[in-house]
Amino acid sequence: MRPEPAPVLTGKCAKEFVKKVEMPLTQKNIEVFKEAEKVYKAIKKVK
Amino acid sequence: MICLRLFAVKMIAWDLMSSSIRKQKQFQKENLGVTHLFLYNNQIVGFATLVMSQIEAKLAPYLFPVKIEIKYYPALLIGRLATHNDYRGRNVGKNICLWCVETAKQLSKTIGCRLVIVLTGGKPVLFYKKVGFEIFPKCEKKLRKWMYLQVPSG
Repeated sequence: MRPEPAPVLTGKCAKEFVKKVEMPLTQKNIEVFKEAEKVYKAIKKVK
Repeated sequence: MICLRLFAVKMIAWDLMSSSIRKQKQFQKENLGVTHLFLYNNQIVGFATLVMSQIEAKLAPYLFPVKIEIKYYPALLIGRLATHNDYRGRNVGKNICLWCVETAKQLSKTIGCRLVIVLTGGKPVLFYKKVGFEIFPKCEKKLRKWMYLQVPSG
């Protein structure tokens, strides 16, 4: 069994979600990924 | 901080999270999720379990007969994310979360990944909001909330 089931959206919820996802990314979102990139590079990966 | 896969560590002396880590080990054995341990000064300070997932959005346009359009969004699910009690308040959790977010971006270059999702409730909702996650529409009043973060394309 998976750790959590995947969500299924229906009706207004689905419509609202699709609308949001198809909009361009916000400035805040872009900044999150800039910070994430820095963190990712800073964390050394060991196999 | 160092990140390594769970199986790379032979001995885990982390009593508080040991039962949770045992569960994650089982998921990993079955290839249902991969747990990444984060070490600082040779001590485990946190872990995160990542799983492939997807969001299914069933859209019913106002047509008769009703024809349902289904949209699928591939997503990376943060199954579990925890920080050692001794390392709380030091941005360890935030950095682990950001690491997961960037992992999704890296994945999107090769296999397609549109979102990072997490199912959470209580205090962690604020934590994920601070990182940049949003609550799914109509999920605000639910005890356990699905949250998502969009992965930029390209």
